[in-house]
Amino acid sequence: MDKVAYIIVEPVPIVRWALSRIVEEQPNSTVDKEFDSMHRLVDHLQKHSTDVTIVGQSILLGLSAEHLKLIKSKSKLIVALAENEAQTPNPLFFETIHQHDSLQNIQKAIRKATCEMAKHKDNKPNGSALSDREIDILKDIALGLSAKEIAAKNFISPHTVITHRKNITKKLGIKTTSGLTIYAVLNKHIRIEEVE
Amino acid sequence: MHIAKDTKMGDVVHHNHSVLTVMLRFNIKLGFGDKTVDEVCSEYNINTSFFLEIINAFLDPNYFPSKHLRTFSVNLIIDYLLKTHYFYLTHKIPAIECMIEQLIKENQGESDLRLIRKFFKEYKDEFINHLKREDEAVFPYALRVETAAINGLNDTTLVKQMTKYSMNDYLNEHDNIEEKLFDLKNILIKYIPPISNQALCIHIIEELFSLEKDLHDHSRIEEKVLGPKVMEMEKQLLAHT
Repeated sequence: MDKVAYIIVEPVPIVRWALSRIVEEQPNSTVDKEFDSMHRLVDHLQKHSTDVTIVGQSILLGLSAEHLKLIKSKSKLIVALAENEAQTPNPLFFETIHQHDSLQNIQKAIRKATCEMAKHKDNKPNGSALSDREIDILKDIALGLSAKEIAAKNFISPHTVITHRKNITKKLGIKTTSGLTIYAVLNKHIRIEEVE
Repeated sequence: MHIAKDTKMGDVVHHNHSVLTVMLRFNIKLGFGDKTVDEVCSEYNINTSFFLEIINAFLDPNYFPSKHLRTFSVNLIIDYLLKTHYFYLTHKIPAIECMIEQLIKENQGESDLRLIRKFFKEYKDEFINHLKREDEAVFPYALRVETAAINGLNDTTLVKQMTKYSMNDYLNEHDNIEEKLFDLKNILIKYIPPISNQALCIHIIEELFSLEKDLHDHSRIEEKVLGPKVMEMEKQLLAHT
């Protein structure tokens, strides 16, 4: 299984370094990127996504709703590094750690986040190699939409839909629409009630 | 190894037991003792050389196209093809159907498996339609062409059909019924949830592979033997009109 990827955004170098080190020391966890400011993180998240983002204390204080929304959409979990325990925990944060927490508590929080992510990764049954876009197209195919309808719905050309379908068939080894439907149901992309 | 007429029938089965299903189509019953292929065939009134061609082609995919097989009458070839259709409908398909039913029954908790039954039902309908089209349109046409080739062409509707919709057209529309079979195999091999009765799943997969191989052999006879033979007759008949 791939390691769970972390992004750390924290302006104070020594705090960033410490967080990075703690993450790297936990099993199945790796730091993908480190940023010292919110706007650098925003630049990155516009093009990339990640598993877990750890948001540092001062960043947290000036975090706009818009930025929070972006982080939430591009990372599956958020761990907040809060100033003190008095700060109200935000339900959008998976875990909130504090500067004065013991090392063990911080390590525990990271491990918990990694475990949660690993669960998500395992839940993608059979390690499907389809891209998110292909899964969207697969769902539409399984629901019985025509190439033309799928194209209109996803704002792409029918030609692109056909290319996606070819790639899906190649990856899965399933050629027929009914076969793709079974795959989509067995892999929980759609519910059986939607096709019965 | 190619089977010859003095090979012992028992040895043929020991060589590759999958020929048993071919024998079933010829209505040959087990218990042939030390009899040779030729002896068993004459006992059942079967054309020995035809039986040998069919068996050898079944065992060795490279045996085709055999010029020899084309020397047999259309009638004889179609008789075998019809028996094969019957074998699929009465043995192969019901056997798989029955195992899929058992799979669903044993795994009530896995309600998604119901889709496999639905899928196989769709396949079965498609398959039956395919066989029906051959039984009701393609084979009768081929037989009419052969009758005309033997007795002379005194059937004007046949001339019309030969020019409008000939054997070549039938072959071109010989649709692919292997796609769903291919998918079903892959769904069972790669994507089925981990159910406890693995032996049952394996059994289904084995049957699917066996059906696929059999169908392949069957289409080869239709496309490489029956088709060219009838087309040759059509050509000769039309040359004389």
